[in-house]
Amino acid sequence: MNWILVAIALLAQEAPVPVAVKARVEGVVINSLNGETLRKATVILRAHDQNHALSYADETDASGHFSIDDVEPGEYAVLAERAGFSSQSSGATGAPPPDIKVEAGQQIKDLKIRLIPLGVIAGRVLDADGEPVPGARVSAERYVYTAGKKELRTVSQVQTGDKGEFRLFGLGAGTFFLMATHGRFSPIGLPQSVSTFFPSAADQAHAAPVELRTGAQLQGFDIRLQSTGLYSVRFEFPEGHALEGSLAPRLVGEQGTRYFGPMSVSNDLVFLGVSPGSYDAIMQFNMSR
Amino acid sequence: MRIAAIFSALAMFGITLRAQPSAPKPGSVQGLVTSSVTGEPVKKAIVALEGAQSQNNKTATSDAMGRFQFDSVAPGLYYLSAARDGFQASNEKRTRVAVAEEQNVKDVVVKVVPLASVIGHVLGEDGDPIVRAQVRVLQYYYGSVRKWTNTVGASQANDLGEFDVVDLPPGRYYFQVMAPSPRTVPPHTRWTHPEEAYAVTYYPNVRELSQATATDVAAGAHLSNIDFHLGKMPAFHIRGTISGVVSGAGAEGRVQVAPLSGSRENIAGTALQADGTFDLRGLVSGAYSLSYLRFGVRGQSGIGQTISVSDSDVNGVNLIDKPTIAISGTVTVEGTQPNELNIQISIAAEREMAAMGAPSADGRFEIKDIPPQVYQVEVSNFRPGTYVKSIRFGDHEIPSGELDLTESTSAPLNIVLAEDGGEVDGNVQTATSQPAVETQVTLAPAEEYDGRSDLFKRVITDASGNFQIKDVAPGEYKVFAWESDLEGSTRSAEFRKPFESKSAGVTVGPKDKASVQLTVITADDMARERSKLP
Repeated sequence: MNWILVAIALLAQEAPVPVAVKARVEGVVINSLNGETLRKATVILRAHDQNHALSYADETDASGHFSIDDVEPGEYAVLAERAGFSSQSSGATGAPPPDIKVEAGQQIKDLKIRLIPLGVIAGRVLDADGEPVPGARVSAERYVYTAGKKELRTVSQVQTGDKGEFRLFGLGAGTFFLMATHGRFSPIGLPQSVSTFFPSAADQAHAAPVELRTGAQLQGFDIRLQSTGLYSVRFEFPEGHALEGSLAPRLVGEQGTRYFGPMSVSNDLVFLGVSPGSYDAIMQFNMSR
Repeated sequence: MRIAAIFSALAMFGITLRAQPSAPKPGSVQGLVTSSVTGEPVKKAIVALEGAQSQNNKTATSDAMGRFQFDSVAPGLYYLSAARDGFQASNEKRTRVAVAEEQNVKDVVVKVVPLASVIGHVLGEDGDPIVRAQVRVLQYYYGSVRKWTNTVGASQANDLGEFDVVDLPPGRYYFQVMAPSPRTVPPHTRWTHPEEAYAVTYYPNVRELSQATATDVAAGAHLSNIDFHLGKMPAFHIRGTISGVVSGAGAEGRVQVAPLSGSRENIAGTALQADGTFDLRGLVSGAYSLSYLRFGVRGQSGIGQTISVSDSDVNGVNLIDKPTIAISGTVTVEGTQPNELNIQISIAAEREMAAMGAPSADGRFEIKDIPPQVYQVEVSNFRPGTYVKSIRFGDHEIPSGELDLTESTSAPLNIVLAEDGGEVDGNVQTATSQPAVETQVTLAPAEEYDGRSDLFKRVITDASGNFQIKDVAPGEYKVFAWESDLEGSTRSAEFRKPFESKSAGVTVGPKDKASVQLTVITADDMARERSKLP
């Protein structure tokens, strides 16, 4: 009899805190466009109080399935991520991830997480003669509004390969401008670069926009670089106006392109390998001399 | 001229543009740009003609047949170089051209070295592409004290797992791939399955650079099928706290982790959590170096600590964040008053310059806000006629220039320059007893001075194969003549060793002059010995 009494006393002490029955969350990650299941996607149940409470994660199996056992009751944000898909699970860009409320003992079995496939724009960069340009930088630019002002922002950037080809990937649906920047080496002075917008425009105003639908893979977007010769620029100075002591003579272009002249200047000054454009010629003098 | 030139000079003295007066009795230069590998003409190359006087410099572009022409060339000595995309932009081997009055120099051949490319795939265990995997092309670089790896090219795998590294100069390379850093998860995350990650991998699918296969990439080669097949491995965490300057919840910064071998690039990083702890994840078994970057401090601290991960999480790591320190001292020139020493004192750690200082008019300098670690002192820009005679740290001479600042110190760094340097001159011949023109001659100090870049000197021979090296600090040296630079290998004692029999040993005293006769070490011999090194 004494033994039973002891057992009842213990139960009475434990009883005020109800034992939470843990829950189970299962589901599948699918491609929002074609409904196919996605393997190797990371699924995270993020606790609202993430700095203290436990969060959970799993990776989907070959059939796109994930399962998380022993989930503490509470509210969680559902996040999923996979290469080639937008990390937003549904809704408009920038929308917060959907929440789920997990009750004690609940078995959530059919959570469906839809990931939006990202698109690709592929093509080549060609020079003025139609020959491929390896090693050019190509970027996808799109308009964003910051503080009410519309501006172009780079959303993806790649380099052209051996045959001048590029593949801009991970792009959401929208309107893009393609820009190729060709860093070309001048034998003298610093490397300089020339930018061209698709299809062959020196500035964005003359560029053709590219419409990309959700998950589309567009090909054949060839950007033809503008033909630019290189020129020498010579300044001469009249007799009697010695320019000794001039520091770092340079040409500064509107895009920030710089050409540096020789450090010591006699009665003339030459810049070599200059691309066409508008420049400020800047010289500084040590006035104390 | 299609250029609108606008003057916005800070000071203008009636500068005007006017027509160029024609130079008296000019000559011309015409020639051909060719590929050093195929000998085929190279079109659209920018050719530069550079002489002693910059106003005579010109550029031209090679035509469809690779031809270029410079008219109205003032008589004189010129150097020709050419540059084009896809070819090495190197002026190291320039072509010399002498133009006499009214002379038409013809058929000058300017060779350019074509660059190589490497393409391949980065795929996971089931053939899926590893999107945004970072592929690096590494090369061992032999420096004065030790060898290290340099990244000479890089590419990111696209959505198909393809990568394409372009513009590689010819060389002996290793290929490395790093999967993208694992995504950030909430601080307390429980995974249904044990965590896995991809290890940093070297071609062909090995974990360590020491096991990797070296690939010799020839000029203009196009390598394909450099494919990586990565398999996921069990991944672990390193967790810990920061103590030192600011401990616990007040600490704000970032902890980064890099493998101890290979290119030693950071592979993961995390900001400190609100309670001052950190949790790095996605690390496979191996040795790592952890560093801490404290936010909001100039000259951020970055104290490395080595941690070994072996089949389990590593918890309770305590990273000690030491306060930054300062070092000060003087620069004097023996026997003279300090007078506008236009000199630079810099200190470098892991061969990257960490900080520098220039002495004020009284010769004092101070370098502040540097993390406590071992540095290499470098003295540069000292004026001709002087050499670095002594580097003293506190009471000790530090001949190698290695400066141990791991503990806080008030000891001064005193540098003495002197003007009684010696001279080494000589002549270099080829194997066929011809003068070796425009050949690199290096003067290397004895081994204990290996780290001292100021004592290692490099000159180029003139048209008769003669050279002259001035301001040599008294001491023992070996002099070498090299046909090529081989990516700076000649700076390495390890590389030079097998060539010591072809060098000339000299002992230079104060105001002394030593003469040597050298035979050039051929580029072939250099490449052969270089290939014996990793």
